Amino acid sequence: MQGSNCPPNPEEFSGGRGSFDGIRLHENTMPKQPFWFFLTWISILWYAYLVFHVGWKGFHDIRRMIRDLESDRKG
Amino acid sequence: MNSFGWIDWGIIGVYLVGTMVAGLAMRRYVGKVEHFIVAGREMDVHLGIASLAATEFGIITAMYTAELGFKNGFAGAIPGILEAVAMAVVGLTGFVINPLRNSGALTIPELLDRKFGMQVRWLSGLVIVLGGLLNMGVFLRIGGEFLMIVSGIPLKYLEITMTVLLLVVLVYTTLGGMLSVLVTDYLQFIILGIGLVVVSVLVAAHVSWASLVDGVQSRLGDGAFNPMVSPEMGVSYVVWQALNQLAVVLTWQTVIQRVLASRDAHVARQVYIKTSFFFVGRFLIPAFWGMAALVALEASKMPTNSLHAMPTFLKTLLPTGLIGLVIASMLAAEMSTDSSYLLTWSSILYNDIIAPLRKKPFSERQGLYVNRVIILAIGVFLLFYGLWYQLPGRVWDYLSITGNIYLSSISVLVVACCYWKRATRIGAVAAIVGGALAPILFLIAGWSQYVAIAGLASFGLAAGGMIFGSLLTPAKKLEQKLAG
Repeated sequence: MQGSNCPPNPEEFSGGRGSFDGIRLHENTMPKQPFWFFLTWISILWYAYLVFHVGWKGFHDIRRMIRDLESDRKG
Repeated sequence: MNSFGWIDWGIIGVYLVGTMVAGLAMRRYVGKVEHFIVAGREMDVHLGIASLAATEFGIITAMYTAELGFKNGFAGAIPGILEAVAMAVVGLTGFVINPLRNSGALTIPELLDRKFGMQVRWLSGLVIVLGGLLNMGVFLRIGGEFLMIVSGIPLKYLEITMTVLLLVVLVYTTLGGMLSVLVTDYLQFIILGIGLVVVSVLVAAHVSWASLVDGVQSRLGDGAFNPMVSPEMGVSYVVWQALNQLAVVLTWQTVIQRVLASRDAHVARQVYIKTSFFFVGRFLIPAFWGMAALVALEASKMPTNSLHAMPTFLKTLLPTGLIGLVIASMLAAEMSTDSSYLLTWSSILYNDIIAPLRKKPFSERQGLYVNRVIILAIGVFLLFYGLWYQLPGRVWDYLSITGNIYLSSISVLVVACCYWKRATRIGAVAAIVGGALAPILFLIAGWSQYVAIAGLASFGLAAGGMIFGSLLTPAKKLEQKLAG
């Protein structure tokens, strides 16, 4: 996994081997260990989303649960 | 950087009062044992997600996953990825959780009783409680260590701080049961989520991604990114973890209690599907903090205990105001975990160990009273075993292998109970004994380098015990015997 995820070493592509601008562009834009980079940040963003989404919907779940329990208690 | 100011105390105070008020407010709705143990089965999807996520993220989780990141890099997050996959697959297929929720049982041993008889119910209840309580025993101390290090409060106040915290949890859990746990879990999930996101952004701002990757690579090598080539992991470890995480999803009682509290099986499956990805972050986010501690913490500040590296790093990082938020979020993590675990193990003790011994069933009033007394008794056990008693040796090895004693056998029992008509009581007993054998031998012999082999052997012996024990027992004869 390590080898496949590593960006190419610039030294391997220097000196008389033509232009490798495409590879250099890839090297400049893609973070090191992209799999772990994206997984880490998707996890953090997912948590932020859950706080708002589950926070909002969960509040309504609690209200519904209390309403049902209240009617059970009275009934 | 660290200065614990009045703003921090204020945030913590507001959080604690809010939790207490919400927890106590639910007390009035507890009229039956079913309300107390499974919230009257009134739980909907989003409340279930909040409760499951908050329960399964305690301070101890942050501590040992950060340690995994500190020692094993990104590869330390592999159990979380495996757990997420297992939970998503079980949620999508309804494997085990569909029949379990549809059975109407209050606990897993109660379901096992219907297939294998009372002795298996009692024996499985005993194994579950034993494994669960031994696991939970160390939560308070490790949670306290985090709080003391980050807040800068001297370690000598650890016992008294955590005793007060436990008392707060005991009050609302004892009075409101699962209803209080669900509502307080919801609040704690919000606080915990905010704290985790804020700290992660702060860590990322402090340690650049490139320097983190380079630092981890130079210190831990290729194994930091690939568990298969990690010297402390490897293929057998990953396979064992895959089995372990599947067993957790199918049988860990705090997880299963959310299945049983759901309105129906569809809600239970939705909770699993929508919570599954949470478990990636549950391991990866604290591991990220642990790796940042490894790379950024000055050598002079590096603690000798690797478990303390992450909180020591956060202490140097967090400004006034944010310390209060982080401590409140970790208090939320600790309290939501403690309350759920207290309720879970007490419900097994009541429903599967004490109640079956009585000829005359408990009345609802007696049942509630017994449940509350058991929770208080577990609280006392936790204080003396987990807080005042110092465990010798490495905590994580101890936790994982003791958990395996019950996870392997009960997961085999539950699967056989739901899907294998030929399974018999003898097979169930053989699975429980077989599943416990390898981990116990491992613990006695102390072969720490063979932890994955012992874990795999535990699953193999549990499955073998069930298959051969069942096939060697004439099913018809056994049924007649049970009927007689």
